[in-house]
Amino acid sequence: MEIVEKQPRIFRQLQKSIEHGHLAHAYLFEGARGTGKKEMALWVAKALFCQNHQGGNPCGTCNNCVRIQAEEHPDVVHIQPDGQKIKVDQIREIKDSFSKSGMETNQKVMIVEDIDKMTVNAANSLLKFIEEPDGQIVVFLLTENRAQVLPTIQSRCQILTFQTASKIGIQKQLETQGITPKVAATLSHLTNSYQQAVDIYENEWFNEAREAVNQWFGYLIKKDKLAFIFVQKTLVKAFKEKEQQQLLFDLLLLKYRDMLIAEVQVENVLKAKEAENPHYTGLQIVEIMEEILLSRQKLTSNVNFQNVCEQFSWRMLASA
Amino acid sequence: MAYQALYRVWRSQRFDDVVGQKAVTQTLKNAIIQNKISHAYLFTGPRGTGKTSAAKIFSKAVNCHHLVDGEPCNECETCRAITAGSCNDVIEIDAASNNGVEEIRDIREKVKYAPTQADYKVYIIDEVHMLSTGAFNALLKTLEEPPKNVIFILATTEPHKIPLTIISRTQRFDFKRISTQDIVDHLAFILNKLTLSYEDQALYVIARAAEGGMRDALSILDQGLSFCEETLTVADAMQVTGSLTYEMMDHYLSACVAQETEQGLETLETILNEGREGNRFLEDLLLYCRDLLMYQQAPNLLLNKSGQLTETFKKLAEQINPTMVYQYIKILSDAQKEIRMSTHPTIYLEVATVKLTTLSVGNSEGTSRVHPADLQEVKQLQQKIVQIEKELTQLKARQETVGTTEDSVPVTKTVAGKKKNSFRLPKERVYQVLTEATREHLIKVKEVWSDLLNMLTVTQRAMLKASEIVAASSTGMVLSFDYEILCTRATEDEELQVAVRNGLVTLIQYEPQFVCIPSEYWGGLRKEFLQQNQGEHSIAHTTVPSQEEEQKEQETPTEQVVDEAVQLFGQDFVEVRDD
Repeated sequence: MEIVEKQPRIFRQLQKSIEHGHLAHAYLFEGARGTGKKEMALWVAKALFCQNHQGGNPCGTCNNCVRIQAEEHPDVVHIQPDGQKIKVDQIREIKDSFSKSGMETNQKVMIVEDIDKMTVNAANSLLKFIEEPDGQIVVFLLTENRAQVLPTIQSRCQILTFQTASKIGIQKQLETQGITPKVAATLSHLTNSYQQAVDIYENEWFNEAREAVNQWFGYLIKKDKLAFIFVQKTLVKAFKEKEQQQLLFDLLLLKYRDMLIAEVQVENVLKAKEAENPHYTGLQIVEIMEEILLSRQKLTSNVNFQNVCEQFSWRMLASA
Repeated sequence: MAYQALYRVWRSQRFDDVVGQKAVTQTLKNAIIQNKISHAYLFTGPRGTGKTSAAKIFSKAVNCHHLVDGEPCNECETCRAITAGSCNDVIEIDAASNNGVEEIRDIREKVKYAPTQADYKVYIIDEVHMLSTGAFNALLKTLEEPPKNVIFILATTEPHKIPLTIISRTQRFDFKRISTQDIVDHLAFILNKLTLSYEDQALYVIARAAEGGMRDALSILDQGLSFCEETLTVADAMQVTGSLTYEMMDHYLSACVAQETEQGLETLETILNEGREGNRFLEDLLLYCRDLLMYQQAPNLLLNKSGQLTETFKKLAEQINPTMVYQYIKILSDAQKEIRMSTHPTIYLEVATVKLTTLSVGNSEGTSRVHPADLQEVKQLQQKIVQIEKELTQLKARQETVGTTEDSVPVTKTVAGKKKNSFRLPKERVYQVLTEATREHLIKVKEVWSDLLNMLTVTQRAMLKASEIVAASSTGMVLSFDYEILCTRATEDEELQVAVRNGLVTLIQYEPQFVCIPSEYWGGLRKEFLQQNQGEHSIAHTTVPSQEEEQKEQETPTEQVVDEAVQLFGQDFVEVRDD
C-alpha cells in the first residue's frame, strides 16, 4: 500500500511543509507498528534529495531515491537499537558526523527508530543536538510509545500521530486471500500492516503457536492443573525467540479480550451456552488481562520465559 | 536559509521577554544593576520554561557595556556575538554528551585563563543532571571558588539528581510552569506579529496541551500553522494536539455512568481510530472529571474559566455523585501510570473502560442526593432490616433460655477473679451505651462495616475481622471480640480507634466512643443490664461494684464536704486548704 493512502493527512501536511520550505528540524512520528512511520520518513528524505521532482513527489527512480530506499545514502543516517537499546555511543558517533557538512549536499537527514528504546544517557545527549542543530538537518524520531520518550525531547519536536489502519479493513483484505475469518481477526489485531499479517500467516510456526495458545487457554479457563505442566512440555519448546515469546502473551491477551467482549455483548442472550465453560465476570477477565500485561512486562525486563509462564499459570489456577 | 522552528526564532533575548518568570528575572536584573553577581547559578524547572534562555540573557547582561535597566542592549558587538554563539568567552556545554571527569578536568584547566573578548567568562552547563558522580565531584572545588571573572550557570530539568554539595555552592533559581493564560498571551503576541489570523479558543487548546512549557506550545503552534489553511481554528488545534472534543468525552462518560460496557468500548474504539493518543485521552478525561467536580461545587467559576459547557456535561454533573468521580479519577490515573510502562496502550484503555463501566454503585452510599436508582437500594436495606430483626428476636429467645439455666452473678464473679490482671470489663461504659442504644444505629453501622474495614490498614482490619458490633447508640457502640487478647489490644490501640471513628464519620457522619468486650461476656452483661433496668439501680451497683466506682467514691468525700460547706456558708466564706 502506498504511504499516501495510509496516512493521507500527515502526508499532505508534510508535502505542504516541503513546498513552503517550512520543514521543521525535528519530527517525532508516533504510531503503532506497521502504520508507515519509516516509509514516511524515507519519503520526506527522498523528496529532499530527489534530482527530478515530479510535482512535489520524488521520482523514486533517480540515483538518490534508489540509494535512500536501500538505506545506503551517505547523508541519510539510520539509527536502530543495538540489541535491546540505543546506546549513547551510537548517538555520539552520529553527532560527530553531523558536525561536518554533508557528503554530497548540505542537506542531511537522520532517522532514529524506536527512540523509546534509548538509554537515559543516549536520550539526554540527543537533547542539545536536536534543540538547535546547525545547518540543514532534519531529524525523524520514530516510536511506538510516546509516553516513554523524554518530555524534554518531545517538546523539541513536532509530534505527528500516525493513525492505525482500520482493523476491519485489514481483516477483510486477509479474508479475500482465503484466510478464515477467525484467523484473519487475530492477525489484524497482531499487526497494523497487511503485508506483515500475511507474512505472519505464511510462517508455519504461527499455526503451531496458535494451536498451543488455544490449548493453554483451554486449560487455564478450566483451572486445569495441566496448564502448569503444559508450559514445560510444549510452550518452552515452541516459543524460543524473544519475539515469539512476546507473541504468546499477545495471542493470549487477544483470547481474553475476545472473551471479555463476548461477555459484554451477549450478557443475557447466551448465558446458557457459557455454562459449559466456567463463567467469568467482566471484572475477573479484566483482572486476568492485567496479569497478562504484567507478565509481558516481566518478559521485556528479561525475566526467564519459563518462570514467567509458570508463575502466570499458578496465579490463574489459584485465583478465585 | 533553512526554515527555523518558531521556538528558535522567538527565543527570548531580554529578561522581560521571558514569560511568566517575573520573580527570577527581576532578581537577576537587580543583581546585575547592583553589581552583586554570584559566581555560580543553578537554574531548574520543567521543560520549556526559559532556563537556557535566561542563562544566555544573563551571560549577555554581565558582559554588555550598554545596559539599560539591567537588560542587555542586544546591539553591541559582544551581545550579537553571544546571540550568534560565536563569543569565545561564553561557553555552552552539553553536559549530557560531555559527562565524564575528563571533560570537567578540561574545564578546570581552561578556567584559569582570563576572558579574551568579554569581561566575564561564562560557562553554561546545560542538562547538568547527566554529569557522572565523578564529574560532579571534580567540579566541586572549582565551583566553590572559581578564579576572578568566571561565572558558572548550571541548567537542568531534574534538580533531584544534583548532589547537595553542588546545590549548596550555587544560587538556585526555580523556574515555574508557565500559566495557561501567559502562554495564550504570548502565542497571540507572536501570531499578531506574524499577521496570521486565529481563533482565540484554539490558543487555549494549544496552551492546555503544552502543560506549562512554552517550547511545547510553540512547537504545537508551528505544526498547527503548517496544518491549517488560512485561519488557525479550534478544530486544527484539536487535531494537532490530539485533544478530545467535549462531545467525545460526553459520549464516553455517559456510557460509563450508565454502566454500558459495550457502548463504552465502542466509543473508545472510535476515539482511538481517529488517531487520538491514549495518554492524551486519559489526560483529557481526568480534566473532564475535575470539571465535573468543580461544576457541582462552583458552577460559575468553571463557566468563567472554560467558556462553554455542553448540555450533556451539565446533565452528567447533576446526575453523578462525587464519590463515583473520585473513583473514576483513581482508575484513570492508575491506567495512566501503567500506560507509561507499556507498549499496549489500547488494551490498558480497554481494561480501564471495563472497570469504569462496571464500577459498583454500592460504594456510593451515604450521600444526601436521592435518585430513582436509589429506590432499589432502599428496598434491599429494608429486607436486611427485617432479616436482622428476626435474628435479634431469635437471639433474645436464646439468651432468655441461657439466663434461666445459669445464674449470671457467679459467672461475672469468676470472670472478675480470673481476669483481674489481664482485662477489666468496662461494665459502666457498656451500660451507658446500652441505655441509649437504638436499633437504627446498630443497623446503620453494620451496613457500612465492611466498607469501613476496607478503609483500614491490613493489621487493623485483621484485628476487627474477629469482632462484631453488638450495640450502638448515638454516642457510643459496643464491639464484641471473639478473643480476649484482641479485645485488650483494641482497647489500648488508640490509632485503631481514631481510624475507625474517622472512617465512620466519613461514611455515615457518626462518631461514637467505643467499648470493646470479649464476646463470651456479652450475653451475661446484656442480661444483667436488662434485669437492672427492670429492677432498682442499687442492686446492680452493689452486686458488682467496679474499680472505677470505688475510686470515685474514694475521691468524692472531701468534695462532698466542701459542697456542703459552701451551701451552708456561701461561696465567699469558704476556703479550702489541703493538709
